[in-house]
Parts: sequence; C-alpha cells; structure tokens
Amino acid sequence: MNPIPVTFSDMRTNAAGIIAIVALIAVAVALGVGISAQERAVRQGGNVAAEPFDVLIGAPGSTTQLLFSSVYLQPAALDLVDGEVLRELAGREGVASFTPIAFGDNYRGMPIIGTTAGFTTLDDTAPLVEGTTFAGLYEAVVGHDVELALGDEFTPVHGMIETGEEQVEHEHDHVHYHVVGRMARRFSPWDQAILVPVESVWSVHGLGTGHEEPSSIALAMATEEGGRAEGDEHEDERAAEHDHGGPVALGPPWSALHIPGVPAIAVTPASIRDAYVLRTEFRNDPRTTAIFPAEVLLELYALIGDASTVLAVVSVATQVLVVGAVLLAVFSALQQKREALGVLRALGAPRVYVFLAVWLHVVLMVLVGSALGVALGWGVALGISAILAERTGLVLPVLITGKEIGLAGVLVAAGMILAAIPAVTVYRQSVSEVLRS
Amino acid sequence: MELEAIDLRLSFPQPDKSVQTVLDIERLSIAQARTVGLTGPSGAGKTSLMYALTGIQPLDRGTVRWGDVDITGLGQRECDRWRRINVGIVFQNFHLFPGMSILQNVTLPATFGRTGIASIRDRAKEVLSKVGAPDHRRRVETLSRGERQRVGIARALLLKPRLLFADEPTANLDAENAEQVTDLLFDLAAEGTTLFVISHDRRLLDRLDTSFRLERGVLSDPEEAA
Repeated sequence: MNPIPVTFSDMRTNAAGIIAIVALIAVAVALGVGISAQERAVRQGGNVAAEPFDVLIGAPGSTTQLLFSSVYLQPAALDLVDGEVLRELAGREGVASFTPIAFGDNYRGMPIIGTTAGFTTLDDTAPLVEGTTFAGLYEAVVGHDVELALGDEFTPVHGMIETGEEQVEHEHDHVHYHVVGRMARRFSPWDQAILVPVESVWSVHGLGTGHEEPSSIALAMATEEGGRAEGDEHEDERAAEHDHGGPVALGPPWSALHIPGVPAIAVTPASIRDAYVLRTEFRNDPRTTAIFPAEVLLELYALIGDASTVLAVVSVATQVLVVGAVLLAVFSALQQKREALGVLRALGAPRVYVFLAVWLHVVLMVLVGSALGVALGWGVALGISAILAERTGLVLPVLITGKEIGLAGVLVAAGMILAAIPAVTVYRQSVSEVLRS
Repeated sequence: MELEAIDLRLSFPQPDKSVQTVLDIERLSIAQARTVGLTGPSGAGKTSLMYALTGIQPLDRGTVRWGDVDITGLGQRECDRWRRINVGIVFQNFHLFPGMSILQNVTLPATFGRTGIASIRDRAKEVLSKVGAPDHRRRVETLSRGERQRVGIARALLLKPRLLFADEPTANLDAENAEQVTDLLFDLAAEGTTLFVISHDRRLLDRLDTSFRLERGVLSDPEEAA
C-alpha cells in the first residue's frame, strides 16, 4: 500500500497553500528553536568569557558594571580600587594569584589592558600561541584576534574606546608599545584586547610604576608631585624618556609608598573556601566590593531565562495556533477532496489507504515545516550571535541540541496525532454517500 | 462466472421523514462476457444499482453474488479487495487525479494493495497504448475530454478486471470521441470482460447484448439485441 502518489499529487495541485502553511510552521518552530539556542549560546559564551575570573574585586558600586567592564571589557568609568589593596593581596593567605585590570587606553578601538605577565597565559594554563609574554615596560601581548604582528609598534590613545572626538581622546604620542606575543584564543572580548604591564599604564598616566626602586619615572614624579593637574602630555614625555630605558620591575609585589589604584582586581583563590572568605571580606571592606562573576552571571541568566520563558510560551502558543490553522485548512480542503477520496474507495482503495493519504498530507507539512524551522531558527541564532560577536567580542556558540530537536519533535508528534482527526473523518465517511453527493 | 443480484431493496429517508425506495429488484443475472446496458430517467436508481453490484452501496436487504462469492456478505476490507481485483469502473466525469501524469493515474490502483507500481508499469503502458492515450508523461489536466476518458478506461483496465462498469461513459464526449470510446469498450468485451454500461446513448445501447430499463428502482424485462 502506497498512498504517497495521492498525497503528493494533492500537494502539487495546492502548492501555494502548502508553501504558505509550511512557511507558517517553519516560522513558529524557528521562534522556539532560535530562542532556545540563543539563550544557551549566551550562557555558554558568557561562562567561557568569565572562566579566568574567579573573584573580582572592585571599588564599591555596581557589581554588574564591574563584571561587564572587567570580563566583557565594556567601556565604563569605574571608580578605582585603592592601590593598598594590591599590597595587601600580595602577602595574603588564601590568594593563589591576583592581577590588576587597568583600562583606560585603546589602540584603534582595541582596549589596552594593564595587567600582569601571568594573566597573559592565565598562569601557564593557556600558553601564548606565539612570542613571549611581556618582560619590558612597553612590551605588549595582543589578544588572539588583534591585527598586529609580533614586532609591530603602536601608540596608545587615551580612552577605552575610539570615539574620534578630539576633546575626549588624545594619543600618548611619545609612548610606543612593542608587540612581543599573542595570547591563545579566549572566546571573549579579550581576544580583541591588548595586554600590557600594569606598570606601563600607570606610568603613561603619570602615576609611577607601583614599585619602589628609583626609576627615572618615579624620581621625576616625585619631584613634580602636586605641581600639576591633568598634564598627560608631560607625563607622556616622561614616560617616553623611560621608554626602553633601564629595567623596571614588573608584577607584584608592588612596594612603592603610594601604589596607584586600578578599576578591578582578578583574584585566583587557593581554594573554594578561600574564595568565599575573600568575597566576604572584600565585600565588608568599605573600600571595596567583591563578586563571583559566575554568580552575577547566574542572576543575569535568571533574568534572561524569565524573558526567554515568556518568549517560549509565546512560541508554543504560536505553534498551537499554527497547527490549529493547519487543521482548519485541511478540513476546508477535505470538503473539496471528498469526491476524489470517494473515487479512490470506489476503485478499490481500502479505508486505511485514504486515511494514510490525508494523514501523510498533514504530517508531511508539519515535518517539513518543523525541519525548516529548526534550520531557520539555527540560522537566525547564528546571525544574532555573529552580530553580538561583532559588537561585543563575545563568542556565542550556537548549537542545535536534543532540546531544540525535541521542541520541533513535540510539534511533529502533536501534528501526527492531530492529523488523525481529519484522516479519521475521511476513514469513516460512506463512499456511496460521497459519490452520490 | 455470473453476476447475480437477488431481492435487492434500497431506500433512503427523505427530509419529510418519508422513505423513498431507490431499488426494488427481484432478480438480475449477467453471465460472464456479456454486455449489458442500463437506461432510465434521472433519479431512477441506475447509479445506485451500479454501486450495489460493486459492493460500494450497502443495501437494506438482498444478495449480490459473483460466482460463489457473496459480495453483500463480505466485510469492508474483503469487499474493497474483491472490487480492486475484479472490478473496473469508468466514470462519467472521468475522476482523474490532477497533479499526476497519465501513467501515475493509470497505475494508481496498483498502489492500493501489494502489487506496486514498478511491476505494473509495462502493463499500464500497454493499456494506454490500447486505448490510444497520448504521451503518458503528460499531466492529466492538460488533456481533452476524450483523452481523459481514454485514460479513465485505461485505469479501469489496469488490473484486468472481469467486470467493467461504465457510468455514462460517452455523456461528456462529442460524437467522434463517443464513437471511439464505444468501440474501445466493445473491443474489451470481446476479450471476455463482462460489461455493464449505464447510458442514454442509443448508438451504444444498440450494440449491447442486453439492455434493461430502470424506473423508480424497478427493472423492466431485458431487451435482447436483435
């Protein structure tokens, strides 16, 4: 028994209507699949980006802003954490490692982040893909996707992003960073960042290096301290004087009398217990706040989850409406097809044959519509991820998993069950009555 | 093998709750390979009789036999199968399936059971050739009325039925096509198929072995051909 020729011929004669119905189903399924896949992509992408950050310490203020600025490098003016905190962390129990995150400059829109050498390799867990980490004050390690080659030199521009407004930004004309290494891919905005010694960021802005040794810069600063306000240009000159000059200690501990502040400090605790102790203590410290990025992300995901739940409900409602519309369309078409189906019976087709012909008609539409919907949802989610990646640097991996297939599968299953309604109607109709009418 | 109807009665309830008798036939026997015609006014029950003889129309009472097979006693599935194997039907309005080619229409009955299209394709081309149908790849909606009726006849002949029923096969055809279709039906009858034709076409009826007239469900005595 093979009713497919009848089903196909019927579809061919109503191609426009079939295409419209299949498109409706596809859009309804794509909505659900796209939302599900996109939400997962955001979660996964967000988690991957936050992985290197166990505990973040910042100045009191918005924890969300601290997260977005430090982990996702979103431009924002954060208050600085007192530099004394860096001194305290250096000798503190329960701290495996820590690194300041100092931003404020950019090169061609790519943020320049002052940090420690250890952070460029995540303490040797993510070796550089080329070159070496920075060992000199004006050496730089670029993010994986930064379009600078080893040996290139560049001059930083003040400001975290390129605005093009001369009043807001200016070049630190006399500072030239030298690219010495490239980081492994982090699947985050850090792939578009340029990492330099935090000492250089302090130095470029006339804040010394944080170290006590009598460097030329520190001396110069000491002599002029208090005698200027926003004299960045002069500071650049002094920095340039120091550029590639004598050796400067890099990395903790910083021991200068006055250690400059930083927007954020990433801390790797020695243990999970230490992580909670650190968070509590630095939250209670009036100078600081502390967060687990993963925890803040969970709160954000809960908000996203609420929104996506609403969208998922809308999507399911849309699918129910579409399936209802499909059934109505099929019932309407059945009135025109009754005679043809009666002729099939008269020619000797068993009742189950006409049942299957009608059932397959609905099921094929739902099946094809659902398959296209999965592909469409995937494509749309990929597109959105690409746009988000372009705008934020976050890599949002869109995957179609069993969950999305399951979403489409539920619709197909519902279609298979509901398709039986018109099919049974046809199955039960009297051939002689149909032919006579 | 003989087709035999005994004590057929069929009635339909009317909107005014009265009952209209559609068939009231004491006995009808059609020997194998005979050509039989049925005529009568509109509403006389001609199509109902055809459906009753093919097992499509359930009866109030009575028996239809094909040889030893009691058609009226068969279950739905067995009756469908019997009709598929033994009966060919040609419709006045052709009842072909748009969206299919000529060949697909003709091979359609092979999809009802286990025969399968592949094994019957050569047979389909053979009957299409016999009825003079055009290129079998053409879609049926592109055919003229005469061509459609030829395809309808080819479909009815596909599984070599021993009973061929034709309901007004020439009613929708012009004179030339009507004559060609009539010739075709009689060619088939000459090969041993029992032919039962409902028609008002005098030229067709005159060539049949026997003709009955049906009025208000009651059959007249047969008119034998001269």
